[in-house]
Amino acid sequence: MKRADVVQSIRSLKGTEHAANPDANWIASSRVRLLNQIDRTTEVIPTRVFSLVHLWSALSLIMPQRTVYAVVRPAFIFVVCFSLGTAGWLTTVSASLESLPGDTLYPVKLATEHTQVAVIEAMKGNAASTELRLSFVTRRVDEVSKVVAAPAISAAARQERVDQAVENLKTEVQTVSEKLNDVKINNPESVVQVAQVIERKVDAIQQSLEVAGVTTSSTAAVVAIAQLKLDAVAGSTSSTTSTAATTTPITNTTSTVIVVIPTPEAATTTVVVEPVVRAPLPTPVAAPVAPVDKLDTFPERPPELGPDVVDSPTPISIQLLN
Amino acid sequence: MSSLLRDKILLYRIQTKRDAQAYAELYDTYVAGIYRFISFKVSSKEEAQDLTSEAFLRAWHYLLESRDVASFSALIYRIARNLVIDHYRSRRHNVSLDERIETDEEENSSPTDGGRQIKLLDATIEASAVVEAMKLMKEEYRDILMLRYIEELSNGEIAEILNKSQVHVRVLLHRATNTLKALLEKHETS
Repeated sequence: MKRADVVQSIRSLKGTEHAANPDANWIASSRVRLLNQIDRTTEVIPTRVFSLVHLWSALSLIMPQRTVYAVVRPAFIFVVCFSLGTAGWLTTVSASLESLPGDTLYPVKLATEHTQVAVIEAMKGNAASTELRLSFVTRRVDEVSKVVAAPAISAAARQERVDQAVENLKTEVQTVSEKLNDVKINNPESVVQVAQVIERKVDAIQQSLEVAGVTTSSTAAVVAIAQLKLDAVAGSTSSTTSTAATTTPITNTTSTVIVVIPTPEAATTTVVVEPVVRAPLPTPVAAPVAPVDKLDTFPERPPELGPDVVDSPTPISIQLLN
Repeated sequence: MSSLLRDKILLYRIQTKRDAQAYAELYDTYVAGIYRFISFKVSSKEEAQDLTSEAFLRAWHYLLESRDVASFSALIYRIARNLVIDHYRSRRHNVSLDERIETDEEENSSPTDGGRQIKLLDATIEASAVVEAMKLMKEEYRDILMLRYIEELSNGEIAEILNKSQVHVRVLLHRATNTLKALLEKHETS
């Protein structure tokens, strides 16, 4: 006997008395009884237009049910939670952008800025994050202006907010200064570009502070900004070979300096650093000149000409020779 | 439309709308197979009818309570199988001591037990011989042969009904067929 014969003999049982088909009458009567029992024992539930349960059941029509409940449903829940969290975060951040020192959402604004800096630093490096920090300095200055102009319950409350805003400004300037030092050490090739951006913005910041009428309480901040400008200049002059440049004079509280600003052409030129003579020499007094061949010793320097010493190069001027 | 997709659509209607009419359609599809499956295991027609009705009622309640139902055919056969097991357990508690002793003797006899086997295999009708040979086999083998060759379910469906892997089902099916073949060959030679 073959296996196929065995299988055939089993199949032949179908419909015999051993595996008999049910009576048609019994099938019909049993069906009616079953439906009656279902009607009696099943509560009618109100039909809902949509339910997530319907969605899972419907998805089970086109993919394995285990996949629906083990993969699709958890993934859907994760996406929904992530979307809600992201949307909530974005809403909070956008609402905090207009906040000022002393507002509830102001820490959120600062935290967002820290995050931005961290991301930019990781993606583009120190130079880009320093520029971003500098834009935050501008923000702090705007905040100072707004806090000064904003109505307050009392003068003391306003002063407190202004002090906080100025303190934030000082902290931000300090941070930019530190960042600039980092750039000098780690990315000397990009320090000129960063210094240029800093110099431009510091001018605008100083003007903004003057427009805001901030004087006494922000003196330290103004000094810090001026120092920042000096840092920037120092950063730019430390690079003796640079791209094609123009010169722009900058006046600060103590000295006159010339900052090298790269032009888009980027043609390499030589930058000559010359010391500045603090006391310019007056026109020499005409003196009888002895014939060379008769001169035994050098003539004495007239006392009205001052010391015969060229001063140290601080501050310096940088002139571009094309 | 394939029967699998049709079943899934009916299940969707039952689970989302408690549609009794959809369940009636499933009943029409599966009642004959379930009845055959049960009647092969029980001794009387009345018992088979009662257990069949009970199986469909339980399946309805199960569908309302649980949504984790991949295949209605697997569910209804599993319920039917468990009902038959429960049926025999309850009967065992009710049988008299004499009947129990007789039953125990039958259960303890091996497939190769001479007297009873020869007596069974001497049946005059081939179908009866097959049925009697199957009754000598393990219940698991009997179920698997019944589901595969009489109800013509797939290995996957049988695996779900018996709660085993498909590979295990294939192995069991092979062994069950070989066992039945050996029994029938012994019957022929005797």
